[in-house]
Amino acid sequence: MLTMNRIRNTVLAALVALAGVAGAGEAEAQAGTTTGAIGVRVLSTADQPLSGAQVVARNQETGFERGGLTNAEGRVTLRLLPPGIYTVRTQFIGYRVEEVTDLQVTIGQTAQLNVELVESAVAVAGIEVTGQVQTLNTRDASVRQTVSEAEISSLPALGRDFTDFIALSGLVSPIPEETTGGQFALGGQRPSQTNLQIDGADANNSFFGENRGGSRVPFTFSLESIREFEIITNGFDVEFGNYSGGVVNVVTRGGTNRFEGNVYANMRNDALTANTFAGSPVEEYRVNQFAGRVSGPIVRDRAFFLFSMDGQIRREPRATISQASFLEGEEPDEVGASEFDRFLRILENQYGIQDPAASYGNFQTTADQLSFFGRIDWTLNENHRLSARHNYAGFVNADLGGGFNSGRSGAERLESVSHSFVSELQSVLGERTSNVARFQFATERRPRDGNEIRPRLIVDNLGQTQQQVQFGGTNFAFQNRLEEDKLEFSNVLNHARGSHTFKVGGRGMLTSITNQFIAFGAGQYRFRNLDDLENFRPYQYTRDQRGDGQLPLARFDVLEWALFAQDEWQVTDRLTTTLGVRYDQQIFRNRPERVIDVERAFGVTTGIAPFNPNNISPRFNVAWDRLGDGSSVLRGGVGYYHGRIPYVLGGNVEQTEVPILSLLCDGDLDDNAPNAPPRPTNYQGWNTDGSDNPFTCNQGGDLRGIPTYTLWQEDFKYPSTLKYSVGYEQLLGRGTRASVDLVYTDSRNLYTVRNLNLRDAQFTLENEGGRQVYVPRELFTATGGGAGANNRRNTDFADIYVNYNDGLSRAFSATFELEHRFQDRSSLRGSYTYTNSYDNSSYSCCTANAGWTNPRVGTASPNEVGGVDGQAWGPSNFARNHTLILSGTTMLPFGVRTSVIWRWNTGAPWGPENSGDLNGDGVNFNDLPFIFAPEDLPLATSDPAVAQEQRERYAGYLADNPCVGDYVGQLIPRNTCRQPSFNRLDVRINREFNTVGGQRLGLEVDLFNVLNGLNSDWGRYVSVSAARRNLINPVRFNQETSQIEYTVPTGFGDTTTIGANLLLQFQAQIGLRYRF
Amino acid sequence: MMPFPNVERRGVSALPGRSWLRGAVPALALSLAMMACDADPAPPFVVEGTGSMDGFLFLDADRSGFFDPFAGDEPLAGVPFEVRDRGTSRVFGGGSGVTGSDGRFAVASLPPGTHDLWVDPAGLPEGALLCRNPLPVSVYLAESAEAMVAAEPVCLISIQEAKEAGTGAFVNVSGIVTSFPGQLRSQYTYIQDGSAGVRIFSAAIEGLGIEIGDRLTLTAEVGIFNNDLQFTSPGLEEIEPGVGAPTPQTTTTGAMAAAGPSPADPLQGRLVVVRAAQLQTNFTAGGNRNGLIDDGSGAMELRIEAALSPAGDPIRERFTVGNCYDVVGVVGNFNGTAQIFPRSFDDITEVACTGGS
Repeated sequence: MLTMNRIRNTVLAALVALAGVAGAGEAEAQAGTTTGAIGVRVLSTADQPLSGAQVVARNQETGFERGGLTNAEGRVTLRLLPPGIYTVRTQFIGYRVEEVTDLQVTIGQTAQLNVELVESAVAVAGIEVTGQVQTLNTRDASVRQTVSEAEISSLPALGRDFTDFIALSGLVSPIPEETTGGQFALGGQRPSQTNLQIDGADANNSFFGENRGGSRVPFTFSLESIREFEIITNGFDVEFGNYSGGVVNVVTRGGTNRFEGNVYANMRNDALTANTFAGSPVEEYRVNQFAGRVSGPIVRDRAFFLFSMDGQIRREPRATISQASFLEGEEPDEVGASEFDRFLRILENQYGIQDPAASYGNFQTTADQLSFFGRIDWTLNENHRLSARHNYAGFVNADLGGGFNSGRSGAERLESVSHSFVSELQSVLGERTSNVARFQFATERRPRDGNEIRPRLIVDNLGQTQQQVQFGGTNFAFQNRLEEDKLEFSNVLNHARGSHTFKVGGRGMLTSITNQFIAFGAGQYRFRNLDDLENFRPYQYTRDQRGDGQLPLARFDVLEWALFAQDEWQVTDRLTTTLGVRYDQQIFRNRPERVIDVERAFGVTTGIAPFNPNNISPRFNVAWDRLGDGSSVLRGGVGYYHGRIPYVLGGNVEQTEVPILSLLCDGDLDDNAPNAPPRPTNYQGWNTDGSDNPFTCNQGGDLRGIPTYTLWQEDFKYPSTLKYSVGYEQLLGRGTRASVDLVYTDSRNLYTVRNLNLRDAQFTLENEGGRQVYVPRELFTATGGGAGANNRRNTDFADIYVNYNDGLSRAFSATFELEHRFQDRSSLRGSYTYTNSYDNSSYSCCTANAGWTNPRVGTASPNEVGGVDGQAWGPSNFARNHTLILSGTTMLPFGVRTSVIWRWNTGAPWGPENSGDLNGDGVNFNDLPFIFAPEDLPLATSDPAVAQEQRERYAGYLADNPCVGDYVGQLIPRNTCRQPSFNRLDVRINREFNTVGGQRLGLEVDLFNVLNGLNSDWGRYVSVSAARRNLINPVRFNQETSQIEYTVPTGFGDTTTIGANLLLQFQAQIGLRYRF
Repeated sequence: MMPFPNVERRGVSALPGRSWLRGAVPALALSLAMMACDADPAPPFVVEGTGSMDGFLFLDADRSGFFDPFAGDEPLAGVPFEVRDRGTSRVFGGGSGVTGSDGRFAVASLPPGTHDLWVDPAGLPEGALLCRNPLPVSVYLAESAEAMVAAEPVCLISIQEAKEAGTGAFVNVSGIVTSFPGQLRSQYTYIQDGSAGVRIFSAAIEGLGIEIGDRLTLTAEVGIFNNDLQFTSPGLEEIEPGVGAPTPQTTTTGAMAAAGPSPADPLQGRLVVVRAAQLQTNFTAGGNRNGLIDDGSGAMELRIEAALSPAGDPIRERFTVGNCYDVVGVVGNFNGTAQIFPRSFDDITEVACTGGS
């Protein structure tokens, strides 16, 4: 069996061997971020290089031309070519002119062309048209996958988000039941380590480490505005940075010499949607999308425009608690229905809620989007080309979130508005020098407002089913807003000298962040019953707030800058090596305030912002054109990368400069105890903006609560990654291409979160592999309820989070791809990807608490995640071991065109859990269970019959789940099990009809998860849900035996079908497109 | 599952011979050298350094929380103490000793954090109590934590704890007034906290302007009168006016009847409400104004005190046998028979019978 070390060493050895093939040669050149290049070698029929031959490439759509003269080696590279279809014309005195047409230029790649000129003396003078050619990129060893304009326009897309096509890469780790729109993991790395850039400019929401707009926005850029993009996991070009997973590099469309456009609309609704996987029909669901694009010349061959828009109106059904819901169960709860009715009356009469019934039952959510895109390209002269574009996206998501028990009153309204303006000047500065300068100004606004932000009213139990009901409040949308403004400049200069092409450049981006956020900022009351609700007698009131009574606000700037230099050396005719180095810096420019009390208590340095000066990224890659004709390439590289950290880590620090206080009022109202809840007697008179929400307990006075802080580690480091790759690509006859790429990634300094206020281990559970416990033995319960402040080092504080960086990740992937393009515009692409990814924390974002509670721990606490083979080490949550993807398009009879995407991948890793807190660290569900032999399992029951039943059940679990049963007698490692595999087939059927003047009307029918449409039992997403992962649940800690005693729940490891999911249920989408 | 290997430190020595390397060497060497760094997991967080504790143990005779020799406070000398790892019986090194002649003590070289300061009650003089023992004390780095330990003659406890302390016990309680002096009788004041309610029997409280919703903190002696538990000889320590009137606890006539024989039952002395209780017998004349009510859970006595219905009051005409009433009142008993004491006629509201009785 291969081990990761052997894999890595094999990749490395192959790489070094490749590097050893050396010689001397002439220069070629490098493709750009938003452009491609054509490398031409001109030879005579006697195989002699022709120096001084004139080569001109002309874009067939825009007339854009770029030319050059061959050097002594007969070579010339035409750089800064906007992606498109080109005609290359070569002429030399005494030789017949030769023209190659339909040469595809793709972003980031150099199309290689060998031209053989025939002497005119031996042939009839004139132009020889040689037609289409297909070559490989033989200059660069990057591991990249391009999604072409044809694929974007022809493949089915649920939601018209171009990022859906990122799933065409087997290196992406999808979560089938969630959209990948905002975040996607590449190569088994954290989603925040993916860098999205559009038109060479940053297109991320840096705060959360996701796409601009985030994951809730259906799309930010209109699909009509996207030309093509590439997914780069190992981009050895130093122009790429700020990632450890990969770069998604997108270029937008521009206009051409042809005035053209189209309008488009589609619909989905409940009639076109299959029943839920539970068998219920979908109701009140509709999505209408509409788009349009118009483009053309402003000045023929010189200036062009493109304008597009895309919109969506979406209404989605939402079912929440209601009187009827009490009666719909297997055993109707009439008492509950009656009490719910009384609950509504109390809300109306005692709390002044207008029409409270409107907050519950069935309603529709709103998710409406509108985006506009405009672009102008202007060829200023033969040496300079200027482009500018602006994109606007506006999104409103009403009645988002909230729970079943709180209905609409607990939901929120989320908006997202973004603008990005990007301009780029491409300049040819003489025969051997070119330059690209780029500028971006971008803004994003994301306000989130709860529908009702007065404190939540919770009544614990209604009816026989003891259903909890809630009104109002919000966990995360208490006057929450995020504002992100970016100013970005970059410049890249290329210069060819001899056999070398040098690239030097830099990039700077200043981001200004304003984030107002507090979790549990609205507060909540709890009532035991309706009488207490009616009489304003809560038994508990909790609320988080900042110590000065203001809302936590983080305002800070982050400056990212990078400098890079690279030498691409054409070592021989066939061998190209590239050696480069990049230096990155990410500077949080606002130093947080010192927290003196924390310094006194814990001896740490506070008031610091991270600064890591050692972000040097050397990279080397080599590409060998094996036969010298561009038909095969052996490539490999090694490079160092420095990723970003989501800025929210800095936000968490800034927001606790004034500490967050956790208020808990649970004294007895009868006693009018100082810590009794404040009575909500005047609830109906409180301001609806939350300003009257109580921030003290019963007796008023000063703000109360125990402070929580978040700090930076003193020598915080940014994520750093070493990547190796080796690949081979071969053309197999006309139109067929095969490739294999092996990639190894080793990341460290990934951000984690520690909690300084966790006290030292108090004792050890000897029968659980030496598990350390952080609560004194006498106070330990193992159920999570007893930890309280007993696990805190200093009870004057709550959690003291520290942004740390001991996260590690290692991943290997192998991708085999086969592609064939048929003569009739049909194509077929298939790939298989094997990925094995391990890490010690799959935390990607966002709160400090999430970072602290993410690692799974065994013997020690989350403060000691450990390294490779440490307690938290295991398969990454982002690993999908095997992925098969088929995509293609073909013509059927009667002019019908069909396109398909089929993706199958093995499931995500998971591992057994327990419901308690086995080590008293104050975190439930993060402890890896010890796998007892059935006879050794300490049970909480003294009834022999019950014990026997539980032991047999437990033994069955071990036998049925080898991913657990193989670990008897030890603390189980993390993520030993795998979810079932999942596959889906999406199909588009398209037929176009000619109308007038060459205009066409197209009918598009997209079918999503076709298998589910054919049979309701197929295409289901089956998984072991969180509720089925509890292997053993702690009941108590036995002080006498010093053992935790457990019970064995039912259903462990059982797979269940997700009930309803509008991403997965079969849907048909009918669209009409009119092209003119 | 594929086993994941141990990590080895990597260096350039593993590279093939020099003739292979050429331009690749610098990049590879630098990369691999960087990989060799940081291979070990980060160490756990350890707080380095120590702090200390300076303490003072004294008898807080006036229970002010401060040392005031003019109020009878005095240092307590020779009392053993321990500084323990919080929640355990582990004593820190050098963390035990006895208080000096001035009541003071000091402990050096303590790890930072919140620790338990435990004082041996056996070492205290008679009549001195530690109401919170051990006492949590937070020690900060390179600082001395001040620990002032006040032994008191009595400790504030819940009313229920006081009721269970037994007849003759000297207790210290705090509770909200549910019935002020003169409302039922001039000597009767009812208070309650979250644990229970109780009657204070004293004529000394009348005239202080006490209202329902005030909080009284007092010392008293636990007593019994006709099987009804009460606090006598109160010494008022504090009156907090207008804290807020408690909401009557909803209960049943049957529950009160069951609690009748038990003077220390938490329901005894508490302000309660019963719903739709049917008047089953008419009130007796004279001073014995008791009627039976039943909400369907069992009958009990509704007692109208003379302060509400003095002689000549047509009480029989106010209420009708067979009708139902919501009744608010404090719970008491007379020789083991439960009684509910409305504080005014406003506490009795006629309602429709629900049929439960």
